[in-house]
Amino acid sequence: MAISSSVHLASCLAVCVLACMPAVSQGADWVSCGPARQLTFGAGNDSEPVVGHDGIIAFQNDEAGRYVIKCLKPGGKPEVLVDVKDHAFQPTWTQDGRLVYVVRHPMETAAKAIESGSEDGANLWIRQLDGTQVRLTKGLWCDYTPSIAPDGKTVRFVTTRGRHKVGDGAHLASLDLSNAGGDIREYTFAAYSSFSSAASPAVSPDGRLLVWAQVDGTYGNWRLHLASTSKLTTSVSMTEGSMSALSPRWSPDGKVIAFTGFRLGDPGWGVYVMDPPAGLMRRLEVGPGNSRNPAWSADGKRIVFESNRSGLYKLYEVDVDIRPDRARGRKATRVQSRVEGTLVVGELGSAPRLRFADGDLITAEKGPVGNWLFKEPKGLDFGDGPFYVKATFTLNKVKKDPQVVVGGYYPGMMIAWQFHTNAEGKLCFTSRSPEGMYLAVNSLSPIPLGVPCQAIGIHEPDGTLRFWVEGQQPVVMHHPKAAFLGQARMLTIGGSDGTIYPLDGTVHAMEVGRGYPQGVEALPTVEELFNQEVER
Amino acid sequence: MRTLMTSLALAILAGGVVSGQQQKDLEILALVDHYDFYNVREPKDRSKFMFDTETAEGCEDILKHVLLTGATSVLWRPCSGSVMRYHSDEERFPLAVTPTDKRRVHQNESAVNGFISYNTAKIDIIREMMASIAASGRVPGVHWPFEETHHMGWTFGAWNLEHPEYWGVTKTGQVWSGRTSLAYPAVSDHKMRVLEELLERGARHIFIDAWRSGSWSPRFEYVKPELERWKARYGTEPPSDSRDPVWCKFVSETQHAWFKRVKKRLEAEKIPLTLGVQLVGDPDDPCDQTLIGRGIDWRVLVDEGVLDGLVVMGIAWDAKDPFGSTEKIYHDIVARCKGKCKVYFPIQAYDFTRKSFHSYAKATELTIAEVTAKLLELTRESGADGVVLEVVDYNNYPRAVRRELRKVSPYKSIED
Repeated sequence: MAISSSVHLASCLAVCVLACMPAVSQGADWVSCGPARQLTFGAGNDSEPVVGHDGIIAFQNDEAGRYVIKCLKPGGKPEVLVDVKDHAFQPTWTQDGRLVYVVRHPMETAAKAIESGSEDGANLWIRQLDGTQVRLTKGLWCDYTPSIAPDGKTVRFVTTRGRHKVGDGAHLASLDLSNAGGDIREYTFAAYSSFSSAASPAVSPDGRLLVWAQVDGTYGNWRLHLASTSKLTTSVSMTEGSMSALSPRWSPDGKVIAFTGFRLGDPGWGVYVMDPPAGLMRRLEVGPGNSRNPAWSADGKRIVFESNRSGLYKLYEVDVDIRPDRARGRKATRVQSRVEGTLVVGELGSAPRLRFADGDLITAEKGPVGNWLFKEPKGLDFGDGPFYVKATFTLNKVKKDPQVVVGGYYPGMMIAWQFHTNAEGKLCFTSRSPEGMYLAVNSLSPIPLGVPCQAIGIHEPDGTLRFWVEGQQPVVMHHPKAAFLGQARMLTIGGSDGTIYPLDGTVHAMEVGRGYPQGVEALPTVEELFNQEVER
Repeated sequence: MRTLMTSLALAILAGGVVSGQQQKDLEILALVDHYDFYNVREPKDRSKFMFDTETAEGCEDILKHVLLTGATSVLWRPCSGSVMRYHSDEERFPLAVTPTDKRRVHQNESAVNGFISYNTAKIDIIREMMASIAASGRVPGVHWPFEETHHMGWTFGAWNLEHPEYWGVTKTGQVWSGRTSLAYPAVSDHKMRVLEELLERGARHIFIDAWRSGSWSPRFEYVKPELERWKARYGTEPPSDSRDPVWCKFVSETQHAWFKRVKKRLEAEKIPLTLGVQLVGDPDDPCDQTLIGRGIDWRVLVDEGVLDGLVVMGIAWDAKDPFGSTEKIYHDIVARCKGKCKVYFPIQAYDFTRKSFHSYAKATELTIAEVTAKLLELTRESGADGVVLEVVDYNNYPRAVRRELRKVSPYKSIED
């Protein structure tokens, strides 16, 4: 490993940014609900309710051994609305009373479906006002969890289209309702994230925000994400990684989101409501058993949900009184961005130095594998705040073993963060969970050999890793939680601190700091997203 | 099909008997994850699949391929607790497949596996295959990792998803659906019901794999019953490092209680209970991988007579002396078990741990067939009872390796 002086990054401009801290408090008396009333009875499980403008509830029922969509008019009895002999499920109303739903077409076996060139996967259909049913999408993919945008013209859903890797789940998509069989517009989440999947996208009543559920990684829980509909590549987590949250639905006034949630100590799945900009979240006391998939009445005064308190899942409703109060909103934590360490390279072959924020310099010691070790570096005590690593380096050769570009070591925590290559020649950015597990995100493709390549990794306080590699799409991975970092023990360049993982290449420049590097936008807070919406 | 298999089995058995054996044959446990065959294409027509893994015909073809290894026991993956591969009453509606259950993550590796649904296949695969294996003369059994926690939620069991109140919890309070804790009686009961389903379908060898148990570890055992039990015993908070051997030993007590429950159930029918353990180097290591990684102390289970068989899934041999170090570890493990249970050593095809026959071949410059022959010889000499093949996929044990395996099997005369 060599260090060249050909490229030198020396950006030390401190910027003041807002960090996204999804700490959600309980609040005291902003929400209450009445006793639950059972709405449906009889055989089979009733689930996935949605309430139309006229008060008609559509839901799925499995009495037939497959899903059939039924409806319940106020004061009436359930009637079959869609029975297509296949699974028809996850209904959603349009504003004018049409129904969009999913059909999972039957297949003798998956192999036979492929061999026959079938285009019948799980696809979207619409039931028109005259009862006719029209197919909206086709293909041997899964298109599911549809919801109608407030403009009434588009359906938002998730799809597995075009994803072929292990761990690739579903991503966001939309389709013009008047364009059955037409082009589907697909969106990635916040940039692209492998080992991720989405479900249940829902547009806010004013059309400005999109909320959805997303799960990342083997150890991840489903979390609610929020983004501006005009910029889906910048999303923030609204729920902590320590809990599981699914099926978000906006209240009709757009101020509150109801969702299915579970967190430590709960007796089972529950109906939660959240006042996002205020950072308030509450599990409604709706009774025993699992309670899931809340749906708002048009006036926002009732929530319909499914519960298995009777053994089967049946529909129930509760009256709710919710008083969002943004004056009680959380205050975003301001984080002072600052370059804490900059690599200063001298003549070729001479020991590099590390310049700290106060101007002090330390000189590296030669490591056992030709790498460089900076012992007791100052300023890398990032606590539980955001920090970043930025490096420009040249990789000469891909090896089976990892090659460490830069790494940070802390007492009791080997390699708390690092850039390293893997056997595929991809660059990986890792940090640690509070339990010391690796949190990782990989570049989408191998980095080029023999030429300088710049990479920036940002570690967000909520465990999110954002990663840019020159010439590639940015990658984001939302991990449940990040470790607290005290004073660093060592910073290594071009290899680990031991006798392994040397870099066959050259590190040209390196910078590490708290907050965000110059030119990189901090994630907006939930509060900011809502306020931006209001200002418009 | 089954009649043919029976005839074939009888013929092969007869061949084995008349061939005369100067040395005792070894047992060969073949682990089968039949899902791994889903995407094997016809060599002459890549648009066709060789095995339709949702059908009886496809599964029978897989079995035929597996039997080429000389297997004496075929342990089929039921994925009980994960996305089950039979018509389980423990995994009813909502269907545990994407997208009818939106909590599941779709598996997109190829379109075909995204739509594979073994738990709703026309046949009950475990029932069908237990019968076929028995008809072939081999011991039918299951290779049961409690949970498959591969790559996010596409393998998490429906029972888990319905019961978040039993989910694992980390020290910092994060819940996780990848594993429900045996510290809850309801979870223990659920897994016993799963066991009954497997027995009722004809499983006559229960092999519980503590290696291929996905991502579960004592890291997720900071659940209320365990925290209370720890507090009652020690009066302190449990260690924050989930790899602390004291914590792992503590957690193992709960795991062991369930194993004892299983043993009690199986004893009456003389059905063996076998445990698969992770890479072993020193069998007396206080930080044994299975103890630290899974909260199970196989040595305690052996000493207490809970296990009928111990499968060592990986040997931590030394590259400086591959066979010498292997021989020592084999000897140490057999001595550690002191005849209390059967012992099986690995013939590994996959190189996850870099200890497979490919790595031996690299270290010794022998062919993988020669390595296999040597490992079989060492297994015999150690006094162990047999070997385990983890897992038999399409030709991952090539013909030359299969030939060596059959030489130590009662099923020597199979044409390959």
